[in-house]
Amino acid sequence: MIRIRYRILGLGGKKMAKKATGRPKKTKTKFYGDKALPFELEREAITLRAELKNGVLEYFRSCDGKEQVHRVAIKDSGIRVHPVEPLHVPKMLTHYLMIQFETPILVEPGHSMEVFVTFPVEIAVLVTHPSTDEVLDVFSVARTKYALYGEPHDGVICRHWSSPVTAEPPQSNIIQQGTMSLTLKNETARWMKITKSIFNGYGMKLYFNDTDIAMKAVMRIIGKNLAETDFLTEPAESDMQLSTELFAVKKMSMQSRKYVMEGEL
Amino acid sequence: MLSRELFGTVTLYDLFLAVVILVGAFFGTKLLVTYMRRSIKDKVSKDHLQIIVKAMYYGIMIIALLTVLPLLGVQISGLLLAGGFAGIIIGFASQNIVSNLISGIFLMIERPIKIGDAVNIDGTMGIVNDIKIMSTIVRTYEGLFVRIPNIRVFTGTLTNFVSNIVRRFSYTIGIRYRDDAELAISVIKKLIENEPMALVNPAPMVFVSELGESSVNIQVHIWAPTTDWFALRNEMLWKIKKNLEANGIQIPFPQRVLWFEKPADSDQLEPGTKTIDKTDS
Repeated sequence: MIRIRYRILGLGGKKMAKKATGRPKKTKTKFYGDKALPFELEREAITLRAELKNGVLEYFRSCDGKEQVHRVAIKDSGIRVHPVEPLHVPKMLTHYLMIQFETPILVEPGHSMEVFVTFPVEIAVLVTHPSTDEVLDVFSVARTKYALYGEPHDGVICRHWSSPVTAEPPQSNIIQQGTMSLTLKNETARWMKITKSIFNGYGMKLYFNDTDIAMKAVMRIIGKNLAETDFLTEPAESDMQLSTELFAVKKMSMQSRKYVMEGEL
Repeated sequence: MLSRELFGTVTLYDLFLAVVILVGAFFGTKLLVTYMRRSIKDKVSKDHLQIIVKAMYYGIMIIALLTVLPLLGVQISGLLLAGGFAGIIIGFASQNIVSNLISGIFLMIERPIKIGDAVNIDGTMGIVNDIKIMSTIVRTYEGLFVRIPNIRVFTGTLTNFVSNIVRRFSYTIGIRYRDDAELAISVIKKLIENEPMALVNPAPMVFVSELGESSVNIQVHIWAPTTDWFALRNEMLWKIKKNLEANGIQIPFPQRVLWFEKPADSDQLEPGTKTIDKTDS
């Protein structure tokens, strides 16, 4: 069983419109970000709606024909919609993400190259508060599957995602997936064929703007069956902002942010 | 007054000091154990915590005892010699107790089971509630409290259902001979594909395993996280049945084909040419 303690990093976003009433207005431009109450968001099969009634925030989510309602008593809080690590839905089973390459990549000895892969995203709706934020809802419209990396007795379960590997950033649908810039560093003296990459959710840094969600990661290939993956804390584009981290690590925690792949690469 | 000898060379001061050390060690250990429980509760699993706490408690108490014994005029070297003889006698007299004790220590070192694991110990199935120095406590699925001596846990057959993080389950699905087995396989594969907890790796397997007496048998193997194995196994079987039927594929009843050498109505039946099918397949 994985024990995860949520810690929401405040982003110093815009102040929410407080105690707003009246009919929700439809917003179709920006899906992610801080929302002024009341609001309604529609994108493909997703509808999010929130309104304030006598100090009670009513939040409705309709996704793929399923509906959810949450009611929260608030005074100074607002709503934030952010893309988050794809590791919470349908339940928090693991904190590892496996990106399986649709076609393997062969990397020259001593060579470093940047490729682009896609990764799934989950959508978090948070109640923001000046002191601490609270997760109201996390959902996903991306395909959810899991896979074992390693052997049943000593392996790890990973969220599985299959992605094409491209030299240019692919077009992606921001409610389902983001784009990862992955730098492959072959530090061995042999040609290496890479079929997958596994990442630790505790190190994930998602950045987003109106049109894209992006992450930057590095995979150091150290040996025939040994590689280390890590994330870079920098946005792919200058106008991107850091998304809320639900898997944030405490400063004094011993929890590693990297992942060492010790099986098939 | 404190230097007055009570017995042998033991003074009242020695006795007082021994009592203070023992009482201090007892309450100090209790405090330390409580503090440890609170401070590392979130960092280690429950069974690790129990082992750490027990080791700390008994370790400190043994050290305290060994400290006070010389104060009371008991020489440890002599005690060891006497203890050696006494040990042999007690060992013979309490063989089972010692066996359980030793087994308990080895169980804590080897750790084939942990508190909270689903296990089968010599036919007793349930959840491990506690691993004590002499016995292991299991709560059966019917909610019964079962105390199993550690010697049985250590030397008997022990199955830990949750030791590995993933587990496989299998079904044998029989379909009618007239049904399309390839369609049935694709329907089952699609169901597995849409189920998040059915693992991609190890890959699921769906194949025709047998041409049975009454049906074409399709074998289905699915791997799932151990935590979700039972729920998924129960859920998938019914989904497979419903989806096969929705695609016109039926699971047949057992049937037997009878050949009559001399049919009852010779006008209608030629010997050996007509079958009587007892089912709707």
